[in-house]
Amino acid sequence: MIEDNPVHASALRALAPISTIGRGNDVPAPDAWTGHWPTLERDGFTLPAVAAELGGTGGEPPDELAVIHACAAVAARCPLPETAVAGALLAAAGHAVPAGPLTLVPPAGCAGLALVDGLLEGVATGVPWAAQVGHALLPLSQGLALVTLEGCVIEAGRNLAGEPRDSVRFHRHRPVAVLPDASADALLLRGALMRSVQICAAAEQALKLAIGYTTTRVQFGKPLASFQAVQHQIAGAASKLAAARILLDAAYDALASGDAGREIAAARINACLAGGECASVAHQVHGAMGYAWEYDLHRHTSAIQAWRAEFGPLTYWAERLGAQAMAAPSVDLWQFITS
Amino acid sequence: MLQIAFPHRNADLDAFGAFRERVRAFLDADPAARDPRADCWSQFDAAFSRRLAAEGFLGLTWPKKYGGGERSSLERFVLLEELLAAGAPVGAHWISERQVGPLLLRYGTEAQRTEFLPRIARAELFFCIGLSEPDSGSDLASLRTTAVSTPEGWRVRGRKVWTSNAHRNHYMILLCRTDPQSQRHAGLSQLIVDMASPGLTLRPIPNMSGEHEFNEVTFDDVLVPADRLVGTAGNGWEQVTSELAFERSGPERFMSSFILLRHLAKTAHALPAEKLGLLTARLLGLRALSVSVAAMLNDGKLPNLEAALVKELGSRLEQDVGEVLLDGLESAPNPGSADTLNRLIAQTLLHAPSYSIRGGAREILRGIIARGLGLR
Repeated sequence: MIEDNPVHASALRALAPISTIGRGNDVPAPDAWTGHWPTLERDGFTLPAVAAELGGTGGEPPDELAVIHACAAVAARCPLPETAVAGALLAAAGHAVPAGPLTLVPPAGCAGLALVDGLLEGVATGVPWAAQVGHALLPLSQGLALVTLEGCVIEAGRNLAGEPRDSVRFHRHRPVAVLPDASADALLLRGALMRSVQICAAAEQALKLAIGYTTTRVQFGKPLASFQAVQHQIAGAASKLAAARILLDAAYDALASGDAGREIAAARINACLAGGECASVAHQVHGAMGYAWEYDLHRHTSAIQAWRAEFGPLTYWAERLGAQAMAAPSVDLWQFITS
Repeated sequence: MLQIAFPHRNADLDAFGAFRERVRAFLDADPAARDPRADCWSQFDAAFSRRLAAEGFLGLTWPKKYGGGERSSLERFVLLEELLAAGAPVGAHWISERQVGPLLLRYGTEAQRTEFLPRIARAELFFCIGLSEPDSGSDLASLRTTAVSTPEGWRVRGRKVWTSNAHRNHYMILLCRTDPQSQRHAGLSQLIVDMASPGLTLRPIPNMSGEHEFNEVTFDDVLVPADRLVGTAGNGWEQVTSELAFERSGPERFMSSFILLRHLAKTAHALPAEKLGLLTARLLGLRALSVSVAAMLNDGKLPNLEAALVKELGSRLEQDVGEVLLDGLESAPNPGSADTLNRLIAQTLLHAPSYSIRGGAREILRGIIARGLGLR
């Protein structure tokens, strides 16, 4: 259980200052969090599952899960998840992790990149926090490339949740390192899992707001929560979220022991299903209030919708898992599920 | 997390790999494997149950002195999911093994345990459960079947409906009102009723698939010996609800349609990979939740809320499998079809409406979950 890990509670406390950025009517600057980063880094939250000799805190994969979950639970908008996961990918390839915030780019955003004579050429799109981080991890056909973003032309963009998703132009740009043993698919899997954790955390907050609102808001002389139509919508969404959540633990357990492809695909699919339903139900039971900028709900629901589209949407992962299941040994679905 | 916690415990099953292989080998060799069934735990086949019993597969977790195997409930979980994945006809013993055994172990007298448990474990005795009545369905606590204490024993009058396999079972665990002045949850008791008792009559209630599984059971002054009271008079509601987590959380609550998906690979049914992936992902989530509840039960907890959630989510998956496969079926579904997949889809379509009703209707389960979330 994610919350049973003491790292979760300490991460919630550490991220509290960033969580208040952009609440209410404030539209935050994309770098509003940067002043808090040195503290997060010093206290070991930025590379939770990276070995100490490679620059990290030396924790286990579930610590990474706890930090990413906490970050999304308090809607702290900063590249902490990206840093934790990019760092873990570098460490898995035996590469030291550079200091400072990191990012990683979904493979779909790297289609226009080429490594020619060891130099990077082209445009990466949908790069999280490009203008605010020092290094990025790019999935290429040759493996993962670690690059600095210094000297690149960055065109700023944002996702639905207001997080920077930028375009970066590389011209004769020499990577810090190209890691041939680290695959683009490994990055896609870890990125999809990262977004799944965030979706589940945000979905839980959306439901908590829905429960809080419907148990206090009185209409027709009684709290909205006393209507079965309201109760059953929230119960149905919470059930789907429970399935998605336990698969996060399953995926991180599998990561610790090797191949987590099946678990990550299942976690991703369930997170997308649950996230969508939780967001929809939370808005429905809030009435107009949930639609207001000043109210917190959209901070969670817009993020859910943004994160569902990053690192492969549900359709991609469902096709991939279905194809794996059909190709399973002796084409036995049960063997695939229990192996 | 929202007061509903499911620790991930799939690894707890790893210890039973050899046992899993043993069950698979048994199923591969058994004649029942040639005729897999959808909703297989509603399929009554006493001979198959006796073959399972001969392997020691019934009462796996019970004490050896009552004919059990003294194995963990997680090992039993492995057994159940393998039986269900094979579509094996486990309906004859399912209720007796799942509910009656644990009930008697928890509340029965030593004489009751000695008399009934070894014979259940040998698949010699099958029990039904008498709960619903003509005027008491989801509102079970309104039931009116009454047992009056007399010098010769309990005298039972009343009527039960939707009683599965009453016409094939030897005994019933009857929930009835033993305090005629009582209201609602108070004053209820559980009795073990011999189905051959004078005054007990059955009327079949064929279900929409045309099968005779349900019955109406009428009690006209049926005499039940005093020593057939289970537990304490008046404690019936608590005793019934203590079994709910076992009843609602097992793999049969999301695997009733699994044999359809498993069979797909052997057919020309063109299910798009995306749809199979979606259903598989949901199955993986439910399996993890169900294992988690089994582990909680193994640890001595009583996760009724968590079990309700498994059943709520599981019945939706079981029903969706039939829907998704029907939408890709080229020929009309027919329970008599020579094509196995076609037949399994037809069986599922005719059984699926019951999945979200039996063992607690969806509305009841969502109410339980809503209470767990603090909504009521």
